[in-house]
Amino acid sequence: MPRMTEQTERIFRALLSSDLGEGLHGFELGRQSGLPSGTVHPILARWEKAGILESYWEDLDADAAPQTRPRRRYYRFTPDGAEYARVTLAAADNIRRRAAGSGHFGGVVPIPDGM
Amino acid sequence: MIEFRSIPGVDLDTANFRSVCSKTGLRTDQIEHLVRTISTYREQDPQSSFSGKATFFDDELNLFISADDESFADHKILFSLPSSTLTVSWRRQVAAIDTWINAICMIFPHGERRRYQEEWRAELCCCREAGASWLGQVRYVLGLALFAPGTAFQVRFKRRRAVD
Repeated sequence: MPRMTEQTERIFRALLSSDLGEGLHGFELGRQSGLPSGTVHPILARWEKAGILESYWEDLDADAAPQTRPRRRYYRFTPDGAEYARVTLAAADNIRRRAAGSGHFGGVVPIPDGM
Repeated sequence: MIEFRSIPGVDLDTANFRSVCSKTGLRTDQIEHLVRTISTYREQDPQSSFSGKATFFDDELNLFISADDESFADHKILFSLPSSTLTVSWRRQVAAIDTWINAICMIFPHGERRRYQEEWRAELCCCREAGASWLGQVRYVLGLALFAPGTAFQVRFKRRRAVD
Protein backbone atom coordinates (compact mmCIF):
# COMPACT_ATOMS: atom_id res chain seq x y z
CA MET A 1 0.00 0.00 0.00
CA PRO A 2 1.37 3.49 -0.80
CA ARG A 3 2.53 5.62 2.08
CA MET A 4 0.00 7.96 3.65
CA THR A 5 1.24 11.54 3.45
CA GLU A 6 -0.19 14.90 4.37
CA GLN A 7 -0.91 15.55 0.68
CA THR A 8 -2.71 12.24 0.34
CA GLU A 9 -4.77 13.04 3.42
CA ARG A 10 -5.90 16.26 1.80
CA ILE A 11 -6.95 14.42 -1.35
CA PHE A 12 -8.81 11.79 0.68
CA ARG A 13 -10.61 14.39 2.76
CA ALA A 14 -11.72 16.23 -0.37
CA LEU A 15 -13.03 13.00 -1.88
CA LEU A 16 -14.82 11.97 1.31
CA SER A 17 -16.57 15.32 1.49
CA SER A 18 -17.74 15.00 -2.11
CA ASP A 19 -20.54 12.92 -3.54
CA LEU A 20 -18.96 9.50 -3.01
CA GLY A 21 -20.77 7.97 -5.94
CA GLU A 22 -19.62 10.63 -8.35
CA GLY A 23 -16.26 11.70 -6.96
CA LEU A 24 -14.24 14.59 -8.33
CA HIS A 25 -12.07 15.24 -11.35
CA GLY A 26 -8.41 16.08 -11.02
CA PHE A 27 -8.68 19.83 -11.45
CA GLU A 28 -11.42 20.10 -8.82
CA LEU A 29 -9.45 17.87 -6.47
CA GLY A 30 -6.49 20.20 -6.83
CA ARG A 31 -8.68 23.20 -6.15
CA GLN A 32 -10.29 21.70 -3.07
CA SER A 33 -7.10 20.28 -1.61
CA GLY A 34 -4.99 23.30 -2.50
CA LEU A 35 -2.42 21.07 -4.18
CA PRO A 36 -0.80 21.67 -7.57
CA SER A 37 -1.44 19.40 -10.55
CA GLY A 38 1.98 17.78 -10.30
CA THR A 39 1.16 16.59 -6.80
CA VAL A 40 -2.47 15.57 -7.32
CA HIS A 41 -2.07 13.27 -10.29
CA PRO A 42 0.78 11.11 -9.05
CA ILE A 43 -1.18 10.56 -5.84
CA LEU A 44 -4.30 9.61 -7.77
CA ALA A 45 -2.34 7.21 -9.97
CA ARG A 46 -0.69 5.48 -7.00
CA TRP A 47 -3.89 4.99 -5.04
CA GLU A 48 -5.80 3.90 -8.09
CA LYS A 49 -3.19 1.28 -8.73
CA ALA A 50 -3.50 0.20 -5.10
CA GLY A 51 -7.24 -0.33 -5.54
CA ILE A 52 -8.29 2.41 -3.11
CA LEU A 53 -9.45 4.74 -5.88
CA GLU A 54 -11.08 4.10 -9.20
CA SER A 55 -11.62 6.43 -12.14
CA TYR A 56 -14.16 6.67 -14.91
CA TRP A 57 -15.11 8.95 -17.77
CA GLU A 58 -18.09 11.17 -17.27
CA ASP A 59 -20.99 10.44 -19.55
CA LEU A 60 -21.66 13.52 -21.63
CA ASP A 61 -25.10 13.34 -23.13
CA ALA A 62 -24.48 14.33 -26.72
CA ASP A 63 -28.20 14.45 -27.46
CA ALA A 64 -29.02 16.85 -24.66
CA ALA A 65 -26.67 19.60 -25.75
CA PRO A 66 -23.87 20.15 -28.21
CA GLN A 67 -20.58 19.06 -26.71
CA THR A 68 -18.74 22.21 -25.76
CA ARG A 69 -15.97 20.69 -23.68
CA PRO A 70 -14.08 17.41 -23.45
CA ARG A 71 -15.35 14.77 -21.06
CA ARG A 72 -13.70 14.66 -17.67
CA ARG A 73 -12.23 11.76 -15.81
CA TYR A 74 -13.59 11.40 -12.30
CA TYR A 75 -11.96 9.76 -9.30
CA ARG A 76 -13.82 8.15 -6.45
CA PHE A 77 -13.17 5.62 -3.71
CA THR A 78 -13.76 1.97 -4.34
CA PRO A 79 -16.18 0.48 -1.76
CA ASP A 80 -13.25 -0.87 0.29
CA GLY A 81 -11.26 2.29 -0.38
CA ALA A 82 -13.76 4.59 1.30
CA GLU A 83 -13.59 2.53 4.47
CA TYR A 84 -9.82 2.45 4.30
CA ALA A 85 -9.70 6.24 3.96
CA ARG A 86 -12.05 6.80 6.89
CA VAL A 87 -10.09 4.50 9.18
CA THR A 88 -6.73 5.89 8.14
CA LEU A 89 -7.78 9.51 8.49
CA ALA A 90 -9.37 8.82 11.86
CA ALA A 91 -6.12 7.22 13.01
CA ALA A 92 -4.20 10.25 11.82
CA ASP A 93 -6.58 12.61 13.63
CA ASN A 94 -6.25 10.55 16.81
CA ILE A 95 -2.51 10.78 16.71
CA ARG A 96 -2.64 14.52 16.23
CA ARG A 97 -5.09 14.94 19.11
CA ARG A 98 -2.92 12.89 21.42
CA ALA A 99 0.19 14.72 20.28
CA ALA A 100 -1.50 18.06 20.83
CA GLY A 101 -2.48 16.94 24.33
CA SER A 102 1.05 15.98 25.19
CA GLY A 103 2.54 18.98 23.43
CA HIS A 104 4.41 16.68 21.09
CA PHE A 105 3.79 15.75 17.49
CA GLY A 106 5.45 12.71 16.07
CA GLY A 107 4.27 13.17 12.49
CA VAL A 108 4.08 9.46 11.64
CA VAL A 109 0.70 8.07 10.68
CA PRO A 110 0.48 4.28 10.97
CA ILE A 111 -1.64 2.49 8.41
CA PRO A 112 -4.03 0.00 9.97
CA ASP A 113 -3.19 -3.64 9.42
CA GLY A 114 -5.26 -5.66 7.04
CA MET A 115 -6.47 -2.70 5.01
CA MET B 1 11.28 45.86 -24.56
CA ILE B 2 10.79 43.59 -21.59
CA GLU B 3 13.34 43.89 -18.84
CA PHE B 4 14.07 40.21 -18.41
CA ARG B 5 17.19 41.02 -16.51
CA SER B 6 14.99 42.13 -13.65
CA ILE B 7 13.87 38.54 -13.17
CA PRO B 8 16.20 36.74 -10.78
CA GLY B 9 18.12 33.89 -12.35
CA VAL B 10 17.34 34.79 -15.94
CA ASP B 11 20.24 35.59 -18.19
CA LEU B 12 18.77 36.65 -21.50
CA ASP B 13 20.66 37.12 -24.70
CA THR B 14 18.68 39.68 -26.66
CA ALA B 15 19.48 38.13 -30.03
CA ASN B 16 18.27 34.72 -28.91
CA PHE B 17 15.18 36.24 -27.47
CA ARG B 18 14.34 37.84 -30.81
CA SER B 19 14.93 34.52 -32.50
CA VAL B 20 12.52 32.81 -30.14
CA CYS B 21 9.88 35.46 -30.75
CA SER B 22 10.31 35.15 -34.47
CA LYS B 23 10.16 31.37 -34.60
CA THR B 24 7.27 30.88 -32.27
CA GLY B 25 5.10 33.84 -33.02
CA LEU B 26 4.64 34.26 -29.30
CA ARG B 27 4.02 37.70 -27.99
CA THR B 28 6.73 39.13 -25.82
CA ASP B 29 4.43 39.22 -22.81
CA GLN B 30 3.72 35.50 -23.23
CA ILE B 31 7.40 34.71 -23.25
CA GLU B 32 7.87 36.89 -20.23
CA HIS B 33 5.10 34.97 -18.47
CA LEU B 34 6.72 31.69 -19.32
CA VAL B 35 10.14 32.72 -18.14
CA ARG B 36 8.76 34.28 -15.02
CA THR B 37 6.68 31.19 -14.29
CA ILE B 38 9.70 28.98 -14.24
CA SER B 39 12.16 31.27 -12.60
CA THR B 40 9.80 32.21 -9.80
CA TYR B 41 8.15 28.81 -9.42
CA ARG B 42 8.92 28.59 -5.73
CA GLU B 43 7.87 32.15 -4.95
CA GLN B 44 4.47 31.64 -6.51
CA ASP B 45 3.83 28.41 -4.70
CA PRO B 46 5.77 28.34 -1.45
CA GLN B 47 4.50 24.83 -0.75
CA SER B 48 5.93 23.50 -3.96
CA SER B 49 8.86 21.20 -3.66
CA PHE B 50 10.05 22.35 -7.04
CA SER B 51 12.19 25.24 -8.02
CA GLY B 52 13.05 26.34 -11.51
CA LYS B 53 15.36 28.31 -13.68
CA ALA B 54 14.91 29.45 -17.27
CA THR B 55 17.72 30.03 -19.72
CA PHE B 56 17.90 30.60 -23.45
CA PHE B 57 20.16 28.53 -25.64
CA ASP B 58 20.17 29.09 -29.37
CA ASP B 59 16.53 29.07 -30.36
CA GLU B 60 15.39 27.01 -27.42
CA LEU B 61 14.17 28.02 -24.04
CA ASN B 62 15.41 25.60 -21.45
CA LEU B 63 13.26 25.19 -18.41
CA PHE B 64 15.09 23.66 -15.52
CA ILE B 65 12.87 22.27 -12.83
CA SER B 66 14.42 20.66 -9.82
CA ALA B 67 12.71 18.65 -7.14
CA ASP B 68 13.77 18.89 -3.55
CA ASP B 69 14.87 15.62 -2.11
CA GLU B 70 13.74 16.49 1.37
CA SER B 71 10.48 18.37 1.00
CA PHE B 72 7.58 16.18 0.08
CA ALA B 73 7.50 12.46 0.41
CA ASP B 74 5.16 12.18 -2.54
CA HIS B 75 7.59 13.82 -4.88
CA LYS B 76 10.46 11.95 -3.40
CA ILE B 77 8.76 8.74 -4.34
CA LEU B 78 7.77 10.02 -7.74
CA PHE B 79 11.25 11.12 -8.72
CA SER B 80 13.97 8.62 -8.33
CA LEU B 81 16.23 11.20 -9.91
CA PRO B 82 17.53 13.98 -7.69
CA SER B 83 16.40 16.54 -10.23
CA SER B 84 15.06 16.77 -13.73
CA THR B 85 15.45 19.11 -16.62
CA LEU B 86 12.52 19.91 -18.81
CA THR B 87 13.45 21.23 -22.22
CA VAL B 88 10.60 22.46 -24.33
CA SER B 89 11.53 23.05 -27.91
CA TRP B 90 9.98 25.92 -29.73
CA ARG B 91 9.56 23.69 -32.75
CA ARG B 92 6.63 22.07 -30.95
CA GLN B 93 4.56 25.26 -31.10
CA VAL B 94 4.91 26.22 -27.53
CA ALA B 95 2.21 28.83 -27.91
CA ALA B 96 -0.45 26.15 -27.94
CA ILE B 97 -0.40 24.71 -24.46
CA ASP B 98 -2.53 21.79 -25.55
CA THR B 99 0.33 20.52 -27.65
CA TRP B 100 2.48 20.37 -24.55
CA ILE B 101 0.12 17.76 -23.18
CA ASN B 102 0.55 15.57 -26.23
CA ALA B 103 4.31 15.75 -25.89
CA ILE B 104 4.27 15.18 -22.15
CA CYS B 105 2.02 12.14 -22.52
CA MET B 106 4.62 10.42 -24.66
CA ILE B 107 6.18 9.38 -21.37
CA PHE B 108 3.30 6.97 -20.88
CA PRO B 109 3.08 3.51 -22.39
CA HIS B 110 0.97 3.42 -25.52
CA GLY B 111 -2.02 1.94 -23.73
CA GLU B 112 -2.23 4.77 -21.20
CA ARG B 113 -1.25 7.65 -23.44
CA ARG B 114 -4.63 8.50 -24.89
CA ARG B 115 -6.29 8.31 -21.54
CA TYR B 116 -3.96 10.91 -20.02
CA GLN B 117 -4.03 13.11 -23.10
CA GLU B 118 -7.80 13.26 -22.97
CA GLU B 119 -7.96 13.59 -19.20
CA TRP B 120 -5.44 16.39 -19.00
CA ARG B 121 -6.87 18.27 -21.97
CA ALA B 122 -10.20 18.27 -20.15
CA GLU B 123 -8.47 19.59 -17.04
CA LEU B 124 -6.78 22.34 -18.99
CA CYS B 125 -10.25 23.22 -20.20
CA CYS B 126 -11.42 23.38 -16.56
CA CYS B 127 -8.45 25.58 -15.82
CA ARG B 128 -9.50 27.99 -18.57
CA GLU B 129 -13.14 27.91 -17.52
CA ALA B 130 -12.03 28.81 -14.01
CA GLY B 131 -10.52 31.95 -15.46
CA ALA B 132 -6.87 30.95 -15.24
CA SER B 133 -4.49 33.25 -17.05
CA TRP B 134 -2.08 31.99 -19.67
CA LEU B 135 0.43 31.88 -16.88
CA GLY B 136 -1.89 29.80 -14.74
CA GLN B 137 -2.50 27.37 -17.57
CA VAL B 138 1.22 26.99 -18.19
CA ARG B 139 1.78 26.28 -14.54
CA TYR B 140 -0.94 23.67 -14.52
CA VAL B 141 0.48 21.84 -17.51
CA LEU B 142 4.03 22.10 -16.24
CA GLY B 143 2.83 20.45 -13.08
CA LEU B 144 1.51 17.57 -15.15
CA ALA B 145 4.86 17.35 -16.89
CA LEU B 146 6.37 16.51 -13.54
CA PHE B 147 4.29 13.35 -13.38
CA ALA B 148 7.21 11.21 -14.40
CA PRO B 149 10.62 11.83 -15.86
CA GLY B 150 11.37 10.23 -19.17
CA THR B 151 12.24 10.86 -22.77
CA ALA B 152 9.72 12.01 -25.30
CA PHE B 153 9.86 13.91 -28.55
CA GLN B 154 10.68 17.48 -27.81
CA VAL B 155 9.96 17.32 -24.12
CA ARG B 156 13.05 15.82 -22.64
CA PHE B 157 14.00 15.09 -19.09
CA LYS B 158 17.66 14.76 -18.37
CA ARG B 159 19.34 13.64 -15.27
CA ARG B 160 21.36 16.40 -13.72
CA ARG B 161 23.55 16.37 -10.69
CA ALA B 162 22.13 19.62 -9.39
CA VAL B 163 20.37 22.74 -10.50
CA ASP B 164 22.22 25.84 -9.46
